[in-house]
Amino acid sequence: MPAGPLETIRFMIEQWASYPEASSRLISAIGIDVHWIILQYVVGLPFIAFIAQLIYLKTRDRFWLDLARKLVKGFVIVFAVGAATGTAAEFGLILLWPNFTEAGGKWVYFPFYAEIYAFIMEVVFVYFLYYGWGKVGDKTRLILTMLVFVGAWYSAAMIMAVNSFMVAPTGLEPGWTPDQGALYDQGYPRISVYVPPEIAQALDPEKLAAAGIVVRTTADGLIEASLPIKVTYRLFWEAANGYRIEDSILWGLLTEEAKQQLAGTPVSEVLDAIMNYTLEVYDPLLYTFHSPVWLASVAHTIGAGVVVSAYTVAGVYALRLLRGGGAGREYSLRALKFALTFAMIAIVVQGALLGHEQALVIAHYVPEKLAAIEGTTDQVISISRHILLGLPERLVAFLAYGSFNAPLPEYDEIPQDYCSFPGAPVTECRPPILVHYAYYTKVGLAVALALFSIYAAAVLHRKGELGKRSLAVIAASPVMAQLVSTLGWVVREVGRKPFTIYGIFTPAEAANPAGPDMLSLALIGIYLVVLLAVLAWAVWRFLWR
Amino acid sequence: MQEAAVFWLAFSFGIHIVLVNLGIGISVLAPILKVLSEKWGRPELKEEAYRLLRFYAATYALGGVFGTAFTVYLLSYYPEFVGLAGKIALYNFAFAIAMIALHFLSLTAYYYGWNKLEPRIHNAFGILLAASALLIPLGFRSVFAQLNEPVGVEIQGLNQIVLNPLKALLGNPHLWPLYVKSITASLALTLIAAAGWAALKGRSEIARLYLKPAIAMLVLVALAGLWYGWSLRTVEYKFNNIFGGLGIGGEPALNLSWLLALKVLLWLVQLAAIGYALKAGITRAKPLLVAAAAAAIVTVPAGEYLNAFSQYPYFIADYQAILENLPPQERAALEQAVSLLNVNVNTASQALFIYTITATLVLIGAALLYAYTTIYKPAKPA
Repeated sequence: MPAGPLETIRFMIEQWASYPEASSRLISAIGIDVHWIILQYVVGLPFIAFIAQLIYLKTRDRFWLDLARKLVKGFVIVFAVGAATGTAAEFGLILLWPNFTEAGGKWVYFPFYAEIYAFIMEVVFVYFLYYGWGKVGDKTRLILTMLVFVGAWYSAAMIMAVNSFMVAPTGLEPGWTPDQGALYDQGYPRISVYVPPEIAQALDPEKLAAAGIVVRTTADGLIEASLPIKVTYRLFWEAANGYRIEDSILWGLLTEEAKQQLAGTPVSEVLDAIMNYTLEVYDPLLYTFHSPVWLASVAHTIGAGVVVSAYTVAGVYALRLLRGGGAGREYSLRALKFALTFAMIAIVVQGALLGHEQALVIAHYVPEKLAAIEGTTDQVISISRHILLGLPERLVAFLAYGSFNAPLPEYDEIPQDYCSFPGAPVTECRPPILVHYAYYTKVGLAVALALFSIYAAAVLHRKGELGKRSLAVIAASPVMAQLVSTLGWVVREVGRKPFTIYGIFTPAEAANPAGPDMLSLALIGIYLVVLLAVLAWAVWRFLWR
Repeated sequence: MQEAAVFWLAFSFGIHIVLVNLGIGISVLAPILKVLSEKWGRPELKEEAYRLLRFYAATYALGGVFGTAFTVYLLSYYPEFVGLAGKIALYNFAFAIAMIALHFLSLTAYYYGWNKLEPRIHNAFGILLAASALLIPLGFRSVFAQLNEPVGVEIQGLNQIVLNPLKALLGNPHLWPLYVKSITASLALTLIAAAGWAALKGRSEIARLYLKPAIAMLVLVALAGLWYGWSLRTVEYKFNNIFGGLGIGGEPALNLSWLLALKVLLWLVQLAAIGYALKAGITRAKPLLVAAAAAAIVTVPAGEYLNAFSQYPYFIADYQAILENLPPQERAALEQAVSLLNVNVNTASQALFIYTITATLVLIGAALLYAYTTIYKPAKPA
């Protein structure tokens, strides 16, 4: 029997609030989402402008060049906004989560580092393109536009490398497989690291085996240790809290001789040595990119940017037509036809191809999240199980594992404490079930948007016109597309809780020990909202009208 | 490895700080010029204000990207310090960010609202633009003051830090002289650079307008510099490195008095050029005014490097004061965090160095091509 609506709501809220640092997480989420709303245009608009210029080169119809120019102009404005919100997001990360930035700076710094050059590339070429528009030839302009979107995509790929590492770090072995089922009682999920020989010598193999740590020697003679995340999380927690080896779980793994030598050594030193050695084995510049979900995440993120941008362009021209279109009515209709067709293709590719690839890697590497997304539980009213009679579950089983009869991970069978230990700030290791509702709302909206786009594009191509109602829906579509995209991020980010980096760090260890109180955070939140409201009002009242 | 880390930090910060100083100056000058244009009935002042604003709008993101580059280099090469900085300078950075957000709002409204907003509202955004531009450095300079000598910070352990927000933000004895010096320096830079540019473009009347305020700012910068130097006498290590070579204070560990002398020389060049322009006229003084603009641009990073390197190899010049109550092992960890010699071992890769050099050169080449195309190349017929 599923729970009732009230129990469902109470369970969701209590569970979400039980994860550490709720207020800092909320303010971070707002800051990063505002940045993401803007960034999607940085990813998508120059690509659409590129396509428009390609068509221009083929047809020599000035309409396409003019449309591309308008898109680039819009891009220049949002780019500056993105730079400002990016600065705020960057400092927010350093101030609210300094221990995370410190760890990130040590081990996963390279994508951030490389992203700087992507950012500089964008800045140089976007201004080159904008201010040099009338001074360069058609082909140079096309190349400049390409460099702008390549810069933006390169930037997205780098940031997503870090984010993917947070979702599924390098060396992750999942806690559930469709063939073997749940492996939590065997110490899974695990993270593999390479242990420097001098540390390996200090460890007692029997004690390691008793603690569930699997040690292997590779063909190259490297010592690889597969650690249950109960162990990895505990070690990072101990390091963040200034533990020494004599007080650490490491004490129980050492040989008697090593105990005498290492008793007073900080756990952070040992952890640094293991992580630095692991990076050396992978190559420090490439370590982050070994996250198994990276490539799929990059593609899905860029897809989101293109979809949102295309719907926004369509929305702008639909709004113009709703207002009559004036002398440029024909122009607006052509632009709408192009943008809507583009959006339709983009959303189908994004959902059916890129989203599918993303779902596959998540299902494989983070099955707990799949269980939360699909709501395979009776503790709440599950949309897939109790409202849609389990049909989506079977479909997902087919898409993820190739068989309608394949089992899915059961949320209720995942041990609540699979990552936890006595004294840990986290008692609920499973992802919050609220991502189930976020995911189904996202998919529902996306499907509705895609179906409507197919219908509207077909009517537009056949009749050359659209009714007011359809135009109104298209005018609202940018908001819907942004909502779909934001919900996608909610699933990704909230669905990673209780972890900041899966199996390694939770917000409790990442947070600033001298961090702001709830009142300060609320004031910051209000301040940012007021600023955004004033900006929106100024744009609407004085610039747009 | 450590040299590379320091070089890239200095390189990105040098570009960032010049653009940021010009941004602060323009944010103050442009609204003043516009109001004066309306008051005196001189439309050319409004045109000049818009010209300056257009430059700022075009370089805003460039200044921002180099600021971000600086932060990322810092994060990559010195992650432990970034972790510490986030904890001890929380309120200082938070104030600066709040002002950046306000500044961005006012810049957007002021720039895009030009000739579109009602004059009263537009001028109100101008005031907001100037005020926020002047307040951003209050936050960042309070961080720099804390890096001289932290106040309002009590470190009881690695993760036990008690902050007094008001004292940490406004109570540092180095803050006000440093802040006044920074503001007057950015105004001096902008006035002189704008005068040089106007002289080069043959706008003599506009160039002349900037000269007297520029002299006033140069005098104020010198006075604020003396005030800041005086305040540094409590930070012995830094004071000696700046003034020791001139026979003031103790023996320097790293003699940077030559950089101070260079700054004074550049200051004199600017003063002399402006004095000559006032006497002989803009047309005759054109080359000197352009040289003064170049000198003003070089003075800004020179001053920043003097301030930063005079405490080398420490991020916090007087770090001993905040660590004295810690047990030896935690103290050692934090001493590592504040040392510029403690570079992230994972950045010791030749590939990283080659990547950085190549990407920088390619992008500088692209930026030069961009400047050439937009400044010198004529528009193609449509």
